[in-house]
Order: sequence, then structure tokens, then C-alpha cells
Amino acid sequence: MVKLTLLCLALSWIALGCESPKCEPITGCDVRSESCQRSALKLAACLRGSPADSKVRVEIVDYDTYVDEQVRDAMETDATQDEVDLRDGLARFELSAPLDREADARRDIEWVGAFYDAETDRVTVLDRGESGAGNERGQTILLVHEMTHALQGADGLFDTIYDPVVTYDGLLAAIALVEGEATLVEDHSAIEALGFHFEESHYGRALKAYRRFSEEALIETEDLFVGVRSGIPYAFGASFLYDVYRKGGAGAVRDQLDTGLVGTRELLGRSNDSKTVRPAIPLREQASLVGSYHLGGFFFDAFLRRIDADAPDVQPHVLDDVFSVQRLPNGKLLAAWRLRFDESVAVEALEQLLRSADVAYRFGSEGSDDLWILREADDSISGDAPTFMDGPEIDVGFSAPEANRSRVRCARRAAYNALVE
Amino acid sequence: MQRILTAVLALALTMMPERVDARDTRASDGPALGLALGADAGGIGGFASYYLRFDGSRFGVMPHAGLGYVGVSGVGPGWSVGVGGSFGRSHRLVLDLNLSTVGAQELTLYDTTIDAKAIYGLGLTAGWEWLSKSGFFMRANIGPVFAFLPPLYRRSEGWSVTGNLLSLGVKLW
Repeated sequence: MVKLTLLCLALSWIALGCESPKCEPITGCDVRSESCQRSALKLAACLRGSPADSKVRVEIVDYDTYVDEQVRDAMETDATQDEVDLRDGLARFELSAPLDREADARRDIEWVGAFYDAETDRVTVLDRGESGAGNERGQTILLVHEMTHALQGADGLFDTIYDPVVTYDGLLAAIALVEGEATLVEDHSAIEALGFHFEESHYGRALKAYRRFSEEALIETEDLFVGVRSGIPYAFGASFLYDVYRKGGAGAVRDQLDTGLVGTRELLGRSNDSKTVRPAIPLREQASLVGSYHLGGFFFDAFLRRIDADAPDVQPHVLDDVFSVQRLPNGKLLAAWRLRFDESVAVEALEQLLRSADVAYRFGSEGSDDLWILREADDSISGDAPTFMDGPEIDVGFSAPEANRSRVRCARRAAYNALVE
Repeated sequence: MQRILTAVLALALTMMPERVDARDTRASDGPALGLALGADAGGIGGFASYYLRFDGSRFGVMPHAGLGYVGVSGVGPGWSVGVGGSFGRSHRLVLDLNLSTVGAQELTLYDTTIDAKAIYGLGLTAGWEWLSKSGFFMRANIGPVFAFLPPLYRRSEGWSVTGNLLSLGVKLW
């Protein structure tokens, strides 16, 4: 009996000492085949440490046909005046372009290689007419990404993550968690399938480059408001979750997904102080509020860098902000962006930088950590000081993230060009 | 490693004239050292082989092993092991089966190369070798190789061409 106990103890010790079984690397395959789809699902489940209980279907759709459908759908409903005005307001700060449903639909799809639709539990791969082994490799790995979304859907994660979202910045953070995990699983699978070891690779270095590209793309994109979703959530979400993974493995990542994030500040390792009161909207007298967004530090950083490429890195120092669009009694629009910074930002220097842009911005401040910027129609600049508006209307105009809940997209990336010489 | 092989080769070359008349190295078994650019060394490097001759025949066998440098992606050392068969006296037809470093693979994510490693392959080459009476030889060969690529690649993508652009060496006796 003693011998048996000792044997059991020894076996338990050996079992504990053993590494968990590695996930079988995926081989390049035709994503149309069921075996390929099963392999991708199995691998995604193994890497994230969840059961592969999803009956997701995969379809291949011609890219041009899909774009035409999306444009047709987008053109079917007319935009409301508020929607038009909100975009015009953002355009005043060059954060967006005036609302154009067709251009938006095209811009929204042009970077997409595949997406998962939670409503139909289906992955759609957009066929751009490319063929060959390189394309097959890319699609195989992309399928692992989408299968990760399918597993997130099966876990009920979209509800957990998207339900508490009440601001635009919160939505970006939520997307960052969803896409961050899928990107992490995708890259993990790619590295192993290319014959390298994920744990030993310098993946952090690649992510650093990815973050840099994403920020640069944000500065260069024609429409920041639409373009922000194609890069920032992926690069910063994956980086954030990779740190979590390194500390606690796949289990810690799952815990973080369950916990969620309040805003993008947390992606940068900064806490979101729930006690911080969002700055009041500077409201022009007799103006009516069209809508407002809590845009977050990424937007302000990109806004500054679009004006001056050498602008200081303020993104981690934006404590809170509110961007609003107001309709004046004369029918003209006024856009106002109010921000609150931590003590490391010199607000006067920022104001100076913005004045140098030679744009008709007006500024105001209520303390050393506070800055509001107004942009009116050029012919209606008023010297009147605004009053301030607090309260629940602060998120007027922010629509619930239904589109993100149901459709999780993924960038087409030619990242896996391992070179054989 | 290259310096050592160069020194050994130079030493062997200085010994040649004394042995020219002493014995015909083409008819004997014996070791050889050489420098190679290609599959014999698994890159740029040196190799050692042993020539075995069947008595009274023009057929010979030569197992070999080499060490080289893969000058791509900072991969570093490459290696090669194999066995060749030859037919002829001075001018020889050489067939060689070898397992060697055939290239390098870079891991590039988000336009950033974060890792690199050597790729190995099994090659079968055919070529020509000239072996002098004194033991000096030169060789060039070419043939198909099957590279062991990572799982993401199709098997068919592993087929490529390998060989030695030039191997020079001395059969010591």
C-alpha cells in the first residue's frame, strides 16, 4: 500500500512536472475543405484553452460581389440629419470626412480578408481572386483568427465584453480585447506553423512594430473615425493581451476577457479612474446638442500628429475627453472637444501647437489640466464664452455597438511571408 | 573553421610535389579535405571525405561530412553529411546523396524579422570531378533537393535545386 502511494505520488509529480501537451501546428490547407476548417477550429481552441464546441460554417464569397452588396445595403437607408451633422462636426477637426455612405462602406471593407458573423455563426472569407501557395498560407492562418472569434461567440464573450460599453472609447477597448485575442492566437499559430517556437520568438518586437504602423496609419488615414478600427484595436489589443499571456498564460487571457476594459487607457497600462468626472461639454448659448463622443487618447494623439508630426506623445496622458457637435440657432454647426490631462502635459504648449496649425480653432481652459477646443463654421466665429453642460446627455449620439457584436472582422495582412532562400 | 581548413589545404598542397612520383592517389583509399561552396559544406566551408576504391574497378565510394557558414539572415553554421559514388579515373562521374543545410528561413511579422533558422534538405546530385595523380581534385555538381519546410508550406514547395558551385581539395594519400 505504501509502495502504491509512493508510486502514485511519483507519477503525480512527474505529471505536474510535464509540460502541457503542445498544440499541433496547422498545415497549409484549402479553407474550403472541412478538414482544414476543423483543424483551424481545433488549433484555435487548443491555443486559447477552450473546448472546440462550435459548429461554425465557412463560406467563400467573391470580394467584388460582397462590396457591391454592402454598398447597396448602405445606400438603402437615408442618413438622418444628426448623423450628417455629427460627421461634419468630426470633419471640422479633420477626424473624419463628411458622411458618404458609399465611401464609408468601401473603406470599411477594403482592409477585410474575412469576418465572423455571430448571428449566423458563419465565417466568410473574401476571395480577391488571388491564388497560389502564398495565398493558401495566408487564408489558413486567417481562418484560425476567425475560428477564435467563433469560439469567443460560443463562450458568450461578445455579450460579456460589449454589453457594458457606453462610450466610443469603451467600444475601441472592447474591440481591442476581441481582436487582440484573435490576433494573439493567429500569430501564435503562424509562428508555430512556420516552424518557430512562439515562446522563444521575439514576438514582442513584432508587436512593437505593429503598434508603430497602426499609429502611423492613423495619422495618414483619410478618415480617422472610420479607419481607427482597422489597426489600433488589433495592435494594441494583442500587445495588451500578450503581456497578460506572458504573466499568466491562456487562462489569464480568458480572465482578462471576462473582466473587460473600461477604455483604451487601460490598453496602455494606465488605469481608468472611475472617480474622474468626464469634463462638461462647452455648450454655446442656445445651441442644441447633436451628439457627443468620448473619443480617447488615440484620437487626440493622431489629431495632434496630423498637425505636427513631431508633436509630443500625449496619448497616455489624456485622462478623459468629450467631443461634441452642437447646432447653433442660425443653423450652423459647432464642434467642441474638451480634454482633461494628467499633470505631465503642458496645456499651454499644446494650445500653442494647435494655434500654429493656422486653423480657426478657439481655445479655453478651466485649469492647468483642462483644454477645450472649438471649431465653428468660419463665418460664424463668436467671441462668446460657452456655458458648460454636464449630465447623462454626454453620450448622446453614441449608438450601441450592435454592428461589432454581430460582425467581427479581421484585417487582411501579408504578415507571414517567411522567406526561404 | 574556414581558417583551419584553409591552413590544412595549404599544407596538403605544399606536400603534393613530393608525393607526385611516390604514388598515384587515384588508385588508393584515403582521406580528403576540401573547401566547398554548396552542399558539400552546407554553405561556404570545408569538408572531409574518405575515398574508398573497389579493387580493379573504376568505381569508388566516398562518405563525407562538412561544416559551413550560411551567409543569409545571420543563421550561422550549416552542415552536411552524405555519401557519394564515383566512376572513372581522372575525370569522374560523381553521384551524391546528402543531407545538408539548404537555406535559411526568416520569421517576419508585421514587416519585422524576429527570428531566423536554417532549413535542411535531402539532395541527390550528379556532377563531374577531376582528380589528379597527386591528389588535387575539383568538383561541381547539381541535382534536386527536397527541403524540409515547416508545416504551413505545401510539401511540393520543398522541391528545389542544390549542388556545389565548386569544391576544391586534396586527397591526402
